[in-house]
Amino acid sequence: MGEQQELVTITIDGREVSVPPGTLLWEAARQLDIEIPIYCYHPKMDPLGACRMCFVEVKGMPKPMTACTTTVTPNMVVSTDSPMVKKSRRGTLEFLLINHPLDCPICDKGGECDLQDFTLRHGPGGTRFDLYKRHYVKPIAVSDRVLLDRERCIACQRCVRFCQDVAMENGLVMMERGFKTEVGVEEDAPFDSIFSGNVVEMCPVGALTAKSYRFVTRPWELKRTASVCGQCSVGCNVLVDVRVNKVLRQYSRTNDSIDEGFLCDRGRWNTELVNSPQRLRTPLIRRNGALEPATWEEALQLVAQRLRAVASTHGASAIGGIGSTHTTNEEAYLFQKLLRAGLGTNNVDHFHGRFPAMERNGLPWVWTDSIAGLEKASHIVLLGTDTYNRQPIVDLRIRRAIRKGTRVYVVTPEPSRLDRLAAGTIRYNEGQTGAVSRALLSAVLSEPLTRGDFATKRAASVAALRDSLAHTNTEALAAFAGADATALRALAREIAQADGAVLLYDEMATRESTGETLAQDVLQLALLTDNFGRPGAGTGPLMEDNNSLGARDMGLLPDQLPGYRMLADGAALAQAWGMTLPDTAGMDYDAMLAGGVRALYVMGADPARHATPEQLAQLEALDLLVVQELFLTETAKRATVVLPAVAYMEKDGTFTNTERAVQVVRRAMQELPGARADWQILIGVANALGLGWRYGSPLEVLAEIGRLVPLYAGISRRGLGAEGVRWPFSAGESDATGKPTLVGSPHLTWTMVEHGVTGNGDGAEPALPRAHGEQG
Amino acid sequence: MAMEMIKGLATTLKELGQKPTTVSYPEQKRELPERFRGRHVLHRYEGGLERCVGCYLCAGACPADAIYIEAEENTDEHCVSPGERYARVFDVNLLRCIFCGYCEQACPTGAITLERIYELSSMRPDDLVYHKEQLLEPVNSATRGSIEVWTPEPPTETATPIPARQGFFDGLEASAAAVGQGNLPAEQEILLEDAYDMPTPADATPESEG
Amino acid sequence: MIGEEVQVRLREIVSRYPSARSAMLPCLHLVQEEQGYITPEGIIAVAEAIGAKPDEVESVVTFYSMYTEEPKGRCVIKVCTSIACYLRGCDDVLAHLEQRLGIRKGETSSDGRFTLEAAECLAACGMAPAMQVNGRFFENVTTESADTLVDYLVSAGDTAALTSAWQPVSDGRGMATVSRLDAANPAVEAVEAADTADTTAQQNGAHER
Repeated sequence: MGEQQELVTITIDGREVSVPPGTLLWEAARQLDIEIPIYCYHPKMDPLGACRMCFVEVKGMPKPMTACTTTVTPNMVVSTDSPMVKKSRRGTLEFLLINHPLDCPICDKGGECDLQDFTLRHGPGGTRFDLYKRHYVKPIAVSDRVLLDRERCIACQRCVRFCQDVAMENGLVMMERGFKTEVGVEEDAPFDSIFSGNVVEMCPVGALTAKSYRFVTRPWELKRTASVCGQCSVGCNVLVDVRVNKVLRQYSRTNDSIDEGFLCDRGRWNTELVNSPQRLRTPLIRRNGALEPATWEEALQLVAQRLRAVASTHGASAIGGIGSTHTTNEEAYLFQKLLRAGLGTNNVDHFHGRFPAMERNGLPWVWTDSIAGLEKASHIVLLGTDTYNRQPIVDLRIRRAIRKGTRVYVVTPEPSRLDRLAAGTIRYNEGQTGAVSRALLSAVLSEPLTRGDFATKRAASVAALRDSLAHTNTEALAAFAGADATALRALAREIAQADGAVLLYDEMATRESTGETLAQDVLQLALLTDNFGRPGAGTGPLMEDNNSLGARDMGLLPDQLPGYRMLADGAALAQAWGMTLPDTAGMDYDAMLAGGVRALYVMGADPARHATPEQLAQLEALDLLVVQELFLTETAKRATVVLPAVAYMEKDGTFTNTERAVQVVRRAMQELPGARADWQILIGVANALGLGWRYGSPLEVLAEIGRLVPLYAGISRRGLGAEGVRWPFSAGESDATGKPTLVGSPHLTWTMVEHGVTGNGDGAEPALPRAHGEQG
Repeated sequence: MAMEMIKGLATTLKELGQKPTTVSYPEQKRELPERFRGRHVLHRYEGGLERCVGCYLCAGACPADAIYIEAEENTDEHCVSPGERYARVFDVNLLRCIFCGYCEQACPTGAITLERIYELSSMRPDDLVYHKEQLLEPVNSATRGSIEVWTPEPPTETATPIPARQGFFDGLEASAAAVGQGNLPAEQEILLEDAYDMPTPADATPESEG
Repeated sequence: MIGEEVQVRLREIVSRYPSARSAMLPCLHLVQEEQGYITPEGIIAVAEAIGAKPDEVESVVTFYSMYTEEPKGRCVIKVCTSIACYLRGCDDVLAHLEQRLGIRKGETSSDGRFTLEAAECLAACGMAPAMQVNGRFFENVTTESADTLVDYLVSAGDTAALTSAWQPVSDGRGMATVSRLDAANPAVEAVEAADTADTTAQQNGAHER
């Protein structure tokens, strides 16, 4: 990568362009903004040369060449608008249109159809074919979500190649041959892939259409807003397509470092969140035991009055707040500010994985590498995480890595869709991810398989760690977890010899009974085997929700301020907020639910969903339960006051995804009448409490975050651009375009040194499953 | 000066004998020009199926944003138009409409035309948003409306339109036939599972039934 | 059912190729030979043997006209309808055969003897129109010669007769025609050996084991 490559200079339409050797003519022309029409070629897939649409004339060649399969050679002279090219394009289009039904008026693709567009721009005005067109039975369902209209197909094979090469799932294949060639699925094997929506998007004609989008609109009626998907923690870039205040679909907006232009079906078509008729449209207040509609003014005043009442009778520490993993960074920031500065308590938390306490200035518990970095890894180990269902687009990137030769190990309790492609799978009993990880660490220490500077420089610490783990050897732990010890030892050896291994675990696996030490063990495993601090090597959790990481970053934690600042370091914040901040750590999520507080403010969370019966009783016994929600959830049903909020498509803000990319979410539609964005509600509550907050928009909140949160220092909406930026970005600095510059991975490694084994590994042994099932 | 006055009076005298151009509306109705553009009418086929396939092209062409459509899929039980798609909602806001006739031009099936209906007044603005039921012509009285008046005669010396078969892609029958089901039985007959069984053009001609 | 013995043979075929996927065609031939046609179990068995997904195997099966997913008659007559044969009048031959056999193309006669098919290019354009009976080529076919062939097939009573007594014969210019069918003709005997080799190559792996 780093080496300077000899560039090849070619001439296209009289203009020179220099590109690396091996570049396709189509790519070179794109750099000059010259359009060469294509159907079968897709920039993310291998060229095929099936559609014959991309003809160009190359000087010295007797016949037109396909630009999607011809690579550049020095001093090539290419013409994309010569008479020969025009004639061949017209010919190709005339052939393609022979059997195309021309039912554009009722076709869902009409308006965004490549065949329409290219025919208009490059095609013939008419056809010489005056016989019958080929007809098939109109759409057949190839899955629950995708319909196939065979007579519209131009056999470009994009969909087929996507299924075979990118998704590597059972799916669409070409059937028959010659005149009868058609796309199809194997009998009794529907196209049940979570990536199936991509073939609908990449189909250049209307042969593959979406069931949920069928006949609901035409593309020119859509209001398309560039935003970020909020369905999972990957944060794929999308266009939110809205017609008359109804979200109809999300469409991909290519961001090569995250989604490469692919989306999962959940992100693409799950619009229930915002379109549902069950949404709350008015504040509700509990009167005489039942929730009744109320005005916003009433509701906000009641919340303020009751919060003050609880604070004066039981003290500020009797108030707690549970924040959300779904709301924007700005809202999370305002929420903890309301609790800390407004109400004077550190009782603020959210539903998250269990991570050990952090060192001052240590590395937060994050994925140290990136999604794009997965392709550089020689090994990927998935610990207790089902990426196919939870982070589908990360899963797609893992599949791409597999194609490039990466060995993937799926270490999960349940079979997963990646098993078929994995180099190895290890199964264990539900809830034992922690034990399995400790078994791997133990294997690395006992053989010993440690390597690299990090381990050698800390030989004493490593030895101490080895001794402390002596009683929990790999075999005992594997037996406890129900896993195959031999396979685990073999995997440990592979990790220790890997060029670069990425070890990923699910955030929620840390909440399992043995999960308490999971994060720390996996980190130590990566450090001691020298799989850290460079692209294609690293470790970290795959977060649960779209802004799980953002919620942590923004200080929805009882013991840390925004940007992972220690409570003791809160002076600057206190000064900026003009308050004195409480200096003792607050209650965490479980403590608050266990009856630690008298008043609970819940924003966009549903603790009742996974609460024990005792916790439910505690929720009902609270003096005050305020819930900000989209729907009447189990928690909202028990609330004193319910404040209707809006979904991410209806508000502005930023999300931080699982690989630390901070990206801009834009309002794509008007709020549901009667509901308000969480940030507006928080400001309303703050002002009812007399705090005098004057934020006019999330932009002003983001500016405050940029000033006060060290991790996000210098952040600005403009700097985030269209594709977002991954933290850490250097404080205050920005490049010529105003985009904050990134500090590379060396910085991360540096913080890691401060944090790693010396910090946590030598300390008292955390509770761990002892051999034969005793829980520590 | 005097000369000018005489000239003026002469004009007055000349016009005195003429029939007045005003009419006593509403007792009398004005004779309208052939291409007068009044309120929209949605047309049907002879069999009763609606011509409109809910393609939104009229709404897209409308410079005044006066047309609102929601389309839906025809089913075997509830088949409204030929082909797969029909307009479940079709509203024209006549307060916004500027009677330019672009919708008529955009329509691929000849479903919407501006007819010589001009008595459009109401005490309530809401009443001037015409819904599909008000715009549709009654069953069993299918007409082509003013579309024939508007369709220009092709110059005699032009080449045969392509494709050569008349009435297939000329904007009148065009897409409804291409869309292909409904009351166009001949077209439906050649909807086949196996393309090899396709009849030769001599076997069936859709226009003969349509 | 795909028996254990077939599985063993599948594995044996796969082992002969450097890349397992290359063994797809011979494996499919084997499965088709065993069951008469390619069944869903056959597809799964082949997919497992070569480590591909069943839908990829299905795609290949539908691509080649030499594989069938439906039971066929004992005598499969394929008439090429691609461009060269079309220009040389394959439509007439096909129509004639349809009439003669009383079945339409793609159908099997009720007694299970004949299946008539239209095939894409059989790679015999030089001697169009061409047709194949159970993998054996007949070229320069006319309605008359097709009739003669059917007469023979009907009288022979079984396709086995075809494979032993009915050999394509050459007219000395590399042309094999059905019109010159005379098993007793010494010329036939003379060219038989050479022709068999040719035909096998021509058949492009069609099932003759």
